[in-house]
Amino acid sequence: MALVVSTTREKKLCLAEQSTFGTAIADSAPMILFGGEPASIDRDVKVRNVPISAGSRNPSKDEIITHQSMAAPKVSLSGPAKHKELDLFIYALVQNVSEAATTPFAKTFTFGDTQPDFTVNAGFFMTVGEYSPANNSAGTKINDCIASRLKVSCEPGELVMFECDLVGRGTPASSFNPTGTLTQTASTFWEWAASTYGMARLSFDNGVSYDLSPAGTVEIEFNQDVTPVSIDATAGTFETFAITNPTATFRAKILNAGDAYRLFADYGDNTLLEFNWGWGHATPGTNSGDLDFAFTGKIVNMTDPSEDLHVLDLEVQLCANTGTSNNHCTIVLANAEDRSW
Amino acid sequence: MKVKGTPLAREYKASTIAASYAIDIDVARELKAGGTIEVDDATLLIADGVAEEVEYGSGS
Repeated sequence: MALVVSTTREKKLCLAEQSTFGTAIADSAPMILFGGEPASIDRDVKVRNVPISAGSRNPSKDEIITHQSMAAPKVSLSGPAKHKELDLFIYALVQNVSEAATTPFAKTFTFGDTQPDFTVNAGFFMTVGEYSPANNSAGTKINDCIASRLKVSCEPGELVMFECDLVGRGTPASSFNPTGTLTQTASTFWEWAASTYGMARLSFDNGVSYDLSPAGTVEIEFNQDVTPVSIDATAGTFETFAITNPTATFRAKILNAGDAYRLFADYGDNTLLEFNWGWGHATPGTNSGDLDFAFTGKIVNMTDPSEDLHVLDLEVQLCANTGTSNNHCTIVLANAEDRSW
Repeated sequence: MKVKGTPLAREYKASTIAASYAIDIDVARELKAGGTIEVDDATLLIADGVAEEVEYGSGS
């Protein structure tokens, strides 16, 4: 047997939106060739040691049991956020969207809203495949992936980056061999400062809107528990996901100048604030490339480090603005891509 | 018959609604956005909870 060696550079990660829950995208179907960091798939193999079953001095085959019952494989994808990929990860997390009917096909996502019933193909779920060309027909493919975490961040002078933890359903296929067209999306990114896709606004509103000047990393992180529930006897795994405990945190280093000092009073007196962090048009969704996070929350930590007096560390826990609303954050992204969402 | 989208409609993709109820994709998008649409037969849309009848005189 010829030894075939492949490197990390050769590994391909592929994504495709599914229309039917439980039915992975076929190997022959077109997929997006993911343009980010390399990633490893956690196959969620359980190992159980039963050292007394064989009664022998040495471990026997019956003493180590591996299985993938109720497997919920995981993969974490990360990299620069592309205009035509980030919406997939946002939808995988938020699980509800409205899309405009005309270009730039603005998508409006509401984080923290009710979860869809995946078993009737509501919501969004995708197939993620990992493939090494030197190891033909031996790739891994996970179906029904949704997101349990999404972080969007930007450092001074850098691109907007994302991290997304995906959870799939059932034992991954281990003979994935993508024969369909794999297409990389355009290398169009958001940036800290640029004439076209630079950060356009960071502001808060306590009754009056004030601009903030970012002076260090700005990030928003969404988390939710994704729990396997019920039994799908046909597929031999769990039936669906329960999405619970949606939470989100916004962190920013801001310049201690202008109206930033007003945040100290809001921090101390339990004020619910509105924040806005965005790129592109002031009316989000007007132009392709618009990206906007509008959210309400309370400051839970705010310090002015003694060693760096001009910078404030700000941490905001997002919360709904009424007792009955589920909406923590509204995200608008327009990318001239008609997803039929 | 005029119906408007319910919050449940937002949980489905427009393409799924369009395929399931044999309506145009842009009409499905309007339904997801909570807008009012006009269809010949809204029985299934209402039965499945993705649309509700617009009350006469509601102005919608």
